[in-house]
Amino acid sequence: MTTTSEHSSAPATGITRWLYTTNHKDIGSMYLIFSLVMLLIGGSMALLIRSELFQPGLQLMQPEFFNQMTTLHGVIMVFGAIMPAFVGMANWLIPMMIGAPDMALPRINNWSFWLLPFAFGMVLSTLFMEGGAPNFGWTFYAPLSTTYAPPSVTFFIFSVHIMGISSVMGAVNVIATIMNMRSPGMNYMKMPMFVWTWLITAFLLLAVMPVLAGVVTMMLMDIHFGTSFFDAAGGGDPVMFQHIFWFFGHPEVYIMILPAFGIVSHIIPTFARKPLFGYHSMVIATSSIAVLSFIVWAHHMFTVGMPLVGELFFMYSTMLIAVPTGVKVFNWVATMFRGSMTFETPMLFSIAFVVLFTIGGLSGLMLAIAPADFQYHDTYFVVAHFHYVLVPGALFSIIAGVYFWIPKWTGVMYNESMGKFHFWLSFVGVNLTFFPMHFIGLAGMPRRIPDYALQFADFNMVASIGAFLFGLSQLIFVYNIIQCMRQRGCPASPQVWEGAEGLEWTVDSPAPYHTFQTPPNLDNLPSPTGHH
Amino acid sequence: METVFRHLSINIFALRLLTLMIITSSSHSEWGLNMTESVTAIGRDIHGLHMTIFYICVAIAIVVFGIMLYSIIRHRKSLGVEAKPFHESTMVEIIWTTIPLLILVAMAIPATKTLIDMYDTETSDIDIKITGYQWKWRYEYLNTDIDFFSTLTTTQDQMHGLEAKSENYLLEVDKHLVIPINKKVRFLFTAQDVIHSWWVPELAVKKDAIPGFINESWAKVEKPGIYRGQCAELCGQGHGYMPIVVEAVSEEDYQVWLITQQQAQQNANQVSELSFDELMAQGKIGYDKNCAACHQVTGMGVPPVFPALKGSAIALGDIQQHVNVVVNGKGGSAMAAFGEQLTPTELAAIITYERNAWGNDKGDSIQPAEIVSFKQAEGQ
Amino acid sequence: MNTKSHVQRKSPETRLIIKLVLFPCLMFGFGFLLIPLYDVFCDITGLNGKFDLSPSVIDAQSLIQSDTALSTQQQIESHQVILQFTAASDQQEIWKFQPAQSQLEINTGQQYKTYFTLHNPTNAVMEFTAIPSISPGLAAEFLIKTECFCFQKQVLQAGEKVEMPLVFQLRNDTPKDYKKLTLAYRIYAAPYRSTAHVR
Repeated sequence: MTTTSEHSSAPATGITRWLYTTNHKDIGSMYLIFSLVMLLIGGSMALLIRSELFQPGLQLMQPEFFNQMTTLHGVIMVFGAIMPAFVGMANWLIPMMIGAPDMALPRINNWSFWLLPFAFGMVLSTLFMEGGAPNFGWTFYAPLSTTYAPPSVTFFIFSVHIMGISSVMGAVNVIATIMNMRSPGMNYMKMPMFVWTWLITAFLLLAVMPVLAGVVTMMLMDIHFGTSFFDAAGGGDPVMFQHIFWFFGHPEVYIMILPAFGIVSHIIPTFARKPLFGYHSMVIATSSIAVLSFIVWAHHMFTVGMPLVGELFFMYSTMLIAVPTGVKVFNWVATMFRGSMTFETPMLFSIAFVVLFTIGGLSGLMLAIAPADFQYHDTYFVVAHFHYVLVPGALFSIIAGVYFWIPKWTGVMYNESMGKFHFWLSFVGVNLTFFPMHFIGLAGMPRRIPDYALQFADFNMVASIGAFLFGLSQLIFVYNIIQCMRQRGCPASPQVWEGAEGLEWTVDSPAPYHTFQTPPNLDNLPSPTGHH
Repeated sequence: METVFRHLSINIFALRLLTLMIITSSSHSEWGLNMTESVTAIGRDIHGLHMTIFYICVAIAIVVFGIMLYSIIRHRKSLGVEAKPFHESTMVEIIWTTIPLLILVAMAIPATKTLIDMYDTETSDIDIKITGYQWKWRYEYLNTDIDFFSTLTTTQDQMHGLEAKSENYLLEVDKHLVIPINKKVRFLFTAQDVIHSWWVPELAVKKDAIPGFINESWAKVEKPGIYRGQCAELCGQGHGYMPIVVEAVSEEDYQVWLITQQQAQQNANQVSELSFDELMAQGKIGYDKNCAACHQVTGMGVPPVFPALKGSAIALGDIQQHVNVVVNGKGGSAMAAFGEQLTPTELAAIITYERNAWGNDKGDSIQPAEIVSFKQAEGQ
Repeated sequence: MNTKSHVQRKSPETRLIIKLVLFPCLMFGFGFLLIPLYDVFCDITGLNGKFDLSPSVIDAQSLIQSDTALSTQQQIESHQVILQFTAASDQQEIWKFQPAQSQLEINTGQQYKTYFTLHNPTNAVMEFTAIPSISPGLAAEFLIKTECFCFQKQVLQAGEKVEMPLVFQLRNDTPKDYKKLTLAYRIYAAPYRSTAHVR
């Protein structure tokens, strides 16, 4: 006979619900809220940085503290905001999209989440330690981060290990879920794009997070146990740090963008009322990007003194990776083309993603040209590039995804006018902040400096104004989300959006606590490939 | 709302195109929009590559965004358009994979050529070893005795808004790196402590300076002038405060400079007796330039990382001990050995200043000659 | 009922999870494996100007072989290379670590000897590690050192001044592109610990 479920179908109450939950929806919500908090904290640090850089001169802080801000801003945004936000969306959406009742490993799922507040609590507490927080950049090159680091580096290493374990366990969970728990009839080439991109991202995570763990362990050993991995005096090599770090670091940036590609591949077809153009090609392109991402790492190191043959190899491989990325952009445009488009907030953010991510990608192509990179490397041109791909890139896709799916998660439509207002302020703000950085980088301003020569003043001022505009407009987004969570808004239908297709749109809004406890019938489900 | 949006989106795209056009029409770096023009042949090649890839990117952007804009305007539900459900085409995928690939191959050819040129191994006329320190550069002209440090001269007062900022704020140093034009100058890079990076945009030279290892690059400057650059690798709190100033002069002027430098080098250790006031005056200048970045103009330091000198046991204690810390540094801390970076006169003045400023008022002083004896006693 | 197979075989899901957990563990090991791999790669290619810190034995056999191999085409002509020496340390004024000659014009295929001076003016026994580095880095492959103070730590008694020899040659087949090389040594001083080799 069938057994009764181990717990009642309603969630527990009180704080214990959140501490002990193994429900993918609860865990997804926790990840999303955590990442939003981290975004605001990391964003405040950015505003401190931009305040100091508003004008030439040292007005607000010592250079030492400025370096702590740039370091923590990077660490928090990469590991605390972007990555957990995508994991949160994966948790909420993957089981529903494949018709599974939950993730494959629900208890590990809980632990993956709860490791993060602990790790970031530790990171933030380093601000109050003797010697201050880590101040060597989020890329923490040795020996600045070993021999010359403040005592807090040990806690930094420890928290990186914890975040890494969280990511690896999450990746195992995602792969196990996708590979084992798809509804009968949902073969790989019928999976939604978000599921595909997360499957590939999860493999990238498994491959490179351990290498990061390795490199910080080597740092730990150099600092505390007398080894010389990165110390020339003991026969080691500081450049080797960079090779190992970027072997992780480059796939890491693809880890931060592939889920974004997945999200946008859902939203644009929905609001164009057309299937995604070139589903098969999108799968191949995403896989190619993932594979190629392993052989481009030294384009972060063009000025380190590599021999000619090395520079040429990495220049060619980096230029090559632009091809599948371009293919994806063309496919999104082809999806819009001859569609019947409406421009609700998720679509606005997705279109902005395509435009602005492409700009970021094009500046990336410029950076790939190794001889030219000698003039771009470690300048604000690079800062402009990666902020374009990460902010109006990854972050806009997360925001788009939240607007798109929040009616499903909460059962309440967000406020559309507020959403559009948030969009326009963010769009203007993000461009005001980061576009001038191309100019000051080309004009010669290096990265990671708290004060600058007079010729860089005007654009720095514009960038700082843009940063405040962008930063403060996120509060509108926060307010809109809170209103939905408090059930203040129009109730949402199961379908929510006219053109939305996928299993998640076949369940109620808000989605019941447990969905797809029996696998769904896929006969009436439109295929994301557009074939019927 | 929809029409407002439509107008806004057209305007924004138009604005973007206009900006792109302005940029392309002005490769004038005076507008602060574009890469600096170079005074070397390689630098010009690099600038050319930069403009080429930029134009290619602009062209791609115009095509892609143009199609998007058209679509946004025309393919909207509010116009009653019905979606045409095409969703794949292998032919199209092949085309838009192949064309970018061909463009990239075309781009790679001149890029490869310039990179090969950068790795040129023709014998250089002059070799200069450049060592990055926290936070200044050291220049040693190989096969000569010329060996000096180059430190930022912008004052703390300028940084804190107490004094008007000079024209070359943060880009001025006490001793320029002087090189002759039209000669291949080979630079060898290393670092004393952490990784730094030596970058002069107008020379189009950037190379990381790695502690324990040596890198090289070269430049053949065609035009006399003063070219300013900065450290391009995060190296600690003074990363933004270790600029580079290259002065390219004619061959004749360079020869004259060589001789005066050799003489100055020999004279550096010649010392004379200085009055207390002279020591204090020179000491303040030297302290502000070399010590205030860490120990602060006020002498208050940033404890515990950078100890206060005001009221400190060392500044008020045994003078030989004080000299020892300044000359030999303090192992295991950020306090460098300034004995090799500063002249005995500078050292004596700074130490005297530290003992008497900020109310320390120890009342004693030290003469340059005593610093020389101290160093000799140590075998220096 | 299949109790036996239930006990013996793990489910496909479990096997998948085991593989998924094993993979990151192997990647962690791979991160550490990158270090010897990096060393091997640099040794073979001479990339990064790194040297094998052990004496090279000049293999007379291989030298003859390369000569005969090419005698059928043309003799490898020895060519001239300018070899510069430069030295650095934590505190140059104290240790006075200097090359005896700052530059030599040498012929490939010929052996040379030069010296580096070092002084320990302190009243403690000190040990010194010398790290060599050459630019252009790829030339490391062609510089053969048969005697070098960089092979072991050097211990200097209080007040001792030494001249440390360096015996080397550039291989016959050093490419003609290498016209000027710079060999740099960086010396690191530390108080003497008994595990070090004594000169």
